[in-house]
Amino acid sequence: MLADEELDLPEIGERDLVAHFTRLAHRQYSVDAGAYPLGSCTMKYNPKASEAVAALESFAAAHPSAPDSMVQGCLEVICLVERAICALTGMKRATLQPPAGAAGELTGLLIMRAYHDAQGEERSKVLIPDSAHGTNPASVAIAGYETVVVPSDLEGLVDLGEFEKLLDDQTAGFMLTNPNTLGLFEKNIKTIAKLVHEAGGLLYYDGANLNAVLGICRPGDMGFDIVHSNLHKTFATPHGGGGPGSGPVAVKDHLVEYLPGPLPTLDPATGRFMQVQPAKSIGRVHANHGNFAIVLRALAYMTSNGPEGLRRVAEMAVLNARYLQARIAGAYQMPYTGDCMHEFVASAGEMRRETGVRALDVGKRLLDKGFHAPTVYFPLIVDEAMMFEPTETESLETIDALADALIEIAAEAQTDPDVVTQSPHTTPVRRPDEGRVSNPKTRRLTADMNAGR
Amino acid sequence: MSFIPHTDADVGVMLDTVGLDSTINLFDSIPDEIRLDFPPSSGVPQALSEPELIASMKALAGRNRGELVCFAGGGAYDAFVPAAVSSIAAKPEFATAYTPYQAEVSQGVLQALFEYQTLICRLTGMEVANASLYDGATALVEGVALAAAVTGKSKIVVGAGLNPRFRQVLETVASGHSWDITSVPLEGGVSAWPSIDGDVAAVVVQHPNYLGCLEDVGLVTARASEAGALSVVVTDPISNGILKTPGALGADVVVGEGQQLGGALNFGGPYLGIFATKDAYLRQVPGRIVGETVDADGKRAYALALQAREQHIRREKASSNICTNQTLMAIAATAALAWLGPQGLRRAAESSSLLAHYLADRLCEIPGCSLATTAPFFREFALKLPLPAADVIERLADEGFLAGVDLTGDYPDFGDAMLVAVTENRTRQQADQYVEAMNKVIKK
Repeated sequence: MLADEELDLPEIGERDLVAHFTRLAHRQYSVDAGAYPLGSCTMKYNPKASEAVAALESFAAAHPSAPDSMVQGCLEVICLVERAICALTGMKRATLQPPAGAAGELTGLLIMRAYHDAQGEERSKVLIPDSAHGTNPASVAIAGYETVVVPSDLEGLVDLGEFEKLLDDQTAGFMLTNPNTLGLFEKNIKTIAKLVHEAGGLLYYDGANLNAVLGICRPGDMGFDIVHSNLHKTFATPHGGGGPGSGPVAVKDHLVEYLPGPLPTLDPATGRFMQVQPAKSIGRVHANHGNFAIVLRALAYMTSNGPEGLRRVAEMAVLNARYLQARIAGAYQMPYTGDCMHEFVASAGEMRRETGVRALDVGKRLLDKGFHAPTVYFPLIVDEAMMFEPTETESLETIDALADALIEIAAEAQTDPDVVTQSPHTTPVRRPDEGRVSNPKTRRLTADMNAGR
Repeated sequence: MSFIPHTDADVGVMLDTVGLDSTINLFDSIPDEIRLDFPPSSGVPQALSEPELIASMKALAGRNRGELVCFAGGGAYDAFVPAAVSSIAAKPEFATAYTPYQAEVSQGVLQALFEYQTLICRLTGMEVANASLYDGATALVEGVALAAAVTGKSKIVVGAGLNPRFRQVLETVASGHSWDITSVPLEGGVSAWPSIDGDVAAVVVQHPNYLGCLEDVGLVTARASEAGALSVVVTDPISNGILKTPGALGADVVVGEGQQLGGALNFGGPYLGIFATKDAYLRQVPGRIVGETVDADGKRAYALALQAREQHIRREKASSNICTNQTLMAIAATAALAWLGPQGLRRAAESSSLLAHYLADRLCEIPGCSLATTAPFFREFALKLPLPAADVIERLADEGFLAGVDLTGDYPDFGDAMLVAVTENRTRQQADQYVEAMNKVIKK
């Protein structure tokens, strides 16, 4: 049972280790370095005070299996964030166990399944719009449902006529992002909610775009039954190079008993926080309490802003997007004319036909000009899509510089398309060959760290 | 405190440009009936300045019982985190980036993740690893999903030595998959493995198991293989410094909780889901994978690999729904493993195991205390107590210790019992003081 030989791990001094990672850090763009208008990802500035709060020793050293009496502070943090999420989304209770947005989706869908099971109903399908995030259909499949895609209309909104045709007694629910991934508000949402509920289904809110409507309107008032939010987007917790995130799921009254347990709860009789198992809980979705240190940062952010500040977040997020769109509207096609919210989708379709420059190339050229690229080729319903979400933390000067860079690129596409299609020119590497990406196993690592490359 | 940089003049200029009179008009496409006149105030914290915020959060933190010497484990450990590792993981270039979709400006995260995958392969003895999952429990679920997809079967056999909370998460997700989960009971602290039927997709064994005991992993993987099932081994990364790797013991899939590699306790998250398997199953691997390639100039470069498995391309046919993972924890783990090196990892495993055995011996000298298991253990053990575990844990807190994890609910057969863990952070002196405190508490 004992190992015969030592593991093949790097043998490297601390000095070289730190140098190695410092060099890697120099080859990495980040929000701290500059604007990051990656649509649907809400790459806003991550306040340093939130980091200071997360570093507090009594939080960082708290053991997840300690008796409730010894972790009252942690349980209170969870309950405070739950309350704020419910207030902002118009819901009754929430779980903070899901460690990411997609995990929140799966949790919400399992709640949906448990609800229908309890009504003695077996429903087989979940509707999603054709503009939905890829996680939506993937989560639907894992929850054991079939995905049915609802087309968008010419305005970029859910096609109500088609939607009604697809809705039936097999529909477990409808997953919707509002504003949707085109950055447009689904103004028929009350009608959609009524139709879903009449068919016996539940309405699920994908909170990827909650930043647009924070304090302005609430999914609960729109008729949604289940809401997931992304603390790493809306509430400014750092994205960590791709995680950790946090994807709380909030529900209306009629679904509270299905929430994952245990659910930290204030006992009004004693004023103490305890953990309660909801009556028909779907069970745990995380081994502990979710990504607590992320939840804690979100609380710090909410507390920094307060109610008025959070509403101001939505206002400035939408103003920045609207302004950037107006600035570049002459240089790029805008396939949908509706008023955008916190993000918008431009198309490089015409540019590609005229000059050969694609959305991908525009994104790469933007890297040369010191910005991160937008989300490209999503949503799938837009040809050569470029999705911009500047967020509220970028100043007018930054948005102007970003707009100027995009206008320059459009001009380059006409005058010198090669400079765009061959870009980037200034980054540490250029256009890695994705077709030749190796088998992820290699034996080169140790040498690398030692040689300090 | 606000993080919005706009002056009133800026807002005026911008509104003019977009042809609006007021910011309120930005939301004209939202129907009036659902528009709020004021932001919800009840339930949302009132705004504080930065010093007020810090003071208020310190007060909240003060409601935890701090300063306890931690002998609790059960999947979450008071691991030693070197200052260099904390410093690396705190680098804003890593912390404030997102998924490396734009490889040209993400070589730092991509290379670090590539190194992480390499180290996880070596640590587990496997051929491929992904770039991390949320935590040990969700990695287990994905491991079982891979086994079910590969075998086309749905029966899952699980040793009762699996972390009970991992088991609960598995059961929750199983409801969407129609997986049929059966348990293998414990004998002497390890699973009494039966022969495996031909309709089994996955055999799940945790080693060392939740009670710290060493399972017969070689037997499990051989039996699974004979039956056409996949073995899913839940590993403890530190134990691999001293024990044979799961790969060497024949595992098909290795998953585990990587929090001990550079992560704080943080009340249970964010942690790190380790996932590794054989080359043959590469296309069924969930989540991100980073690979090495060359760029347009022939230079070595790193990029996301095999994206055709992933949800943003394959949607409902994806191998999993994962989008955001735990990159920052993976970077910390990479730095922690490199900081330890092979000897350091071995020392951490050996010294904590020795101290755990010393502590167990000393505790068992106390009347009424005994081990609940008979199998060899690594650095965590189940201790039977003459008093209810909850009382012992509360009273030992008054002596300055977080004594362990109460086992009464999860393993009722043991009677009054708790799980005691020893990490490389504990000292002989602390162990002696713990024994003394236990003596005092039990004699009272």
